[in-house]
Amino acid sequence: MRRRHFLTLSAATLGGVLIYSLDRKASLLAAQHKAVRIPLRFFTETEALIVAAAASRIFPSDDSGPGAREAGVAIFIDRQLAGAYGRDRFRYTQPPFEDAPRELGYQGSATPRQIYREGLRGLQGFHLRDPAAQDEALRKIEPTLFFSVLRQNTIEGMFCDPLHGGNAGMVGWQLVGFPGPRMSNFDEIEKYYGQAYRPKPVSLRQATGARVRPSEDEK
Amino acid sequence: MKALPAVDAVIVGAGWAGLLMAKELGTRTSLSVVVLERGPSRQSSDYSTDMDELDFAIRLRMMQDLSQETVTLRHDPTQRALPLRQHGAFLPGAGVGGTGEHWNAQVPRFLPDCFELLTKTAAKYGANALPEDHAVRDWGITYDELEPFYTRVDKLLGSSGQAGNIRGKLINGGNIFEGWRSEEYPTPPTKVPYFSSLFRDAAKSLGYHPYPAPSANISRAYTNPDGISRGGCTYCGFCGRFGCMVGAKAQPTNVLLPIIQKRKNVSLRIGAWVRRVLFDPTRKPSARGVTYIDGAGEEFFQPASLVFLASWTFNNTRLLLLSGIGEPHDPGTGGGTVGSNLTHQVSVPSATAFFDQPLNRFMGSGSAGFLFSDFDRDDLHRSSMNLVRGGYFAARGYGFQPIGAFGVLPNSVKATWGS
Repeated sequence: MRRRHFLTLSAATLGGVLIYSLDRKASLLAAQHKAVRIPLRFFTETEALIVAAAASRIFPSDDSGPGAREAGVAIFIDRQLAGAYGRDRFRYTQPPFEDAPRELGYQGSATPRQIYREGLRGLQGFHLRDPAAQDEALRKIEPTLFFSVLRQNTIEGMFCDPLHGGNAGMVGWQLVGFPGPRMSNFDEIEKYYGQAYRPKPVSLRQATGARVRPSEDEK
Repeated sequence: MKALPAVDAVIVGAGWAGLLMAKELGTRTSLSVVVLERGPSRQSSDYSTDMDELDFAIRLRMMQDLSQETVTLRHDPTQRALPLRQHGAFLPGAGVGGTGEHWNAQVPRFLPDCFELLTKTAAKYGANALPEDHAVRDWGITYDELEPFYTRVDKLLGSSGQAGNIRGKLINGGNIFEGWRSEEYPTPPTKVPYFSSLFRDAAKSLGYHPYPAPSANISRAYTNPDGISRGGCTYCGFCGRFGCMVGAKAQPTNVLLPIIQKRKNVSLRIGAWVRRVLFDPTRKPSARGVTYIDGAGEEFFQPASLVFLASWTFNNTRLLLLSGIGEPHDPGTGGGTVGSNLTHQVSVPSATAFFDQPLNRFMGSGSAGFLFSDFDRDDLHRSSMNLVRGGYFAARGYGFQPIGAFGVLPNSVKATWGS
């Protein structure tokens, strides 16, 4: 068994008070908690720091609102890679592996786990650089498969249901005005023509009252 | 290979086609029926907690497990066919109910002249109007013959909409270009998402004839002729790629399965991957049954006097080819019928528009919206345009979710990441 790795995040960057699920255990973090150590399922601590830094350049927090750091995107990606997605449980992974026109989709043999491990080797020390140097490093790898997977996973971690470990405090949903899985919009759909309807977001567990299990927790 | 006791009928696939056949045979005959489904068991109550975009719309939890079996793909005969490794344009479902569980529930009818496309086009424009290598064919049945069955299906599903042509009488507000209907829709049109209302008003102001999109995601509570009751849509927006949380969307598990489960002469086997149809061309009927592999990898022979292929046209064709039944279509010579004119949904050009006012696109359904069919006809031919037919225009209020809908930007914006 590998040595346990943790990612230490400041509760302040995670946006004050939020409900966070650590290893399926819900925790309430308040601003007075200075930091929280989140157990990693796949990444080493250094890898998690690089992914967190890269994701927060891809989806930065800026004048328009919070970004990947506040949403906990690195935790989301860690869980995805540890689960079925990371090991390509549902992809056809038998030969032949051939160069193919782009429209035939990704034809390679590398799993998301392998794509990250390989890609992160090229980003050593990334988390220690200043933002301008980080952007430059990302521009260099922009055409790679690793970057496109990292970008896609960053967006997923920004806007997924919080049960997957990203979108902490539903900051991503609040950013774009998505209220989460509401049981009904029957009374609202024809009422808010041309006006913003922005109810307080609810997560799937809040909306249904059920302990919904995300796919990454399945064997 | 283990031989099982013979049954009268075996049905391959437990989606719309397979379960519909199972219901009809099971309730109207005493034949013994076995339905073989490669995927898992599903029931309507599974969907009460499935409104998770990541697992269902992005990771596509309800689709065929491609790690077990896939198809190969190429876009023209000069390419080498390669495995479809992850889902892309088409999303074959797996499990009881099949793709009918995660569809958007759009239920338009074909236009009458589509059934006789070759004859009608030749009559209108001459036999030489189509290019020599065209693949246009008549169906061999007509709309008039099919209309009673369309109506039966609409009643089964509880389809929502507004008729534009009841037995030849045109009705404003419906689609006045549609084929005749024997009756009004079983339920009234759905509510109208704001985006679709803008399209409706714009189309009307241009003199076109917009009409509510026909929807099997029903507008209000309805009990069908089989006694199956469903509630109306709540416009939660989780439709295509999801099973319906409230069962407003017609799905094989809510309109067919409850009837089938009451029939002792019908049984459903899940995790059964059919590999071949066995047949003996010297006998009548020639089909002898099917072989399949179960979840443990054991192979079985299920003898049956009647074999129904209901595993989607694409997979039915594949099973016929693997079984050596019929003459395979050769795209070079045009000969052979198995696989000829095999078509999946034809994707149509779409436009992206940006509005100043908020659209609240998270509210909606897979089939609520407005369409107009003023161009869906065969008299568009102009000497300047090499065009004999058009299609309909649609603005459907699919519920948008934030991962899938993220990143739609005007063409002027090139950056795909950063502030």
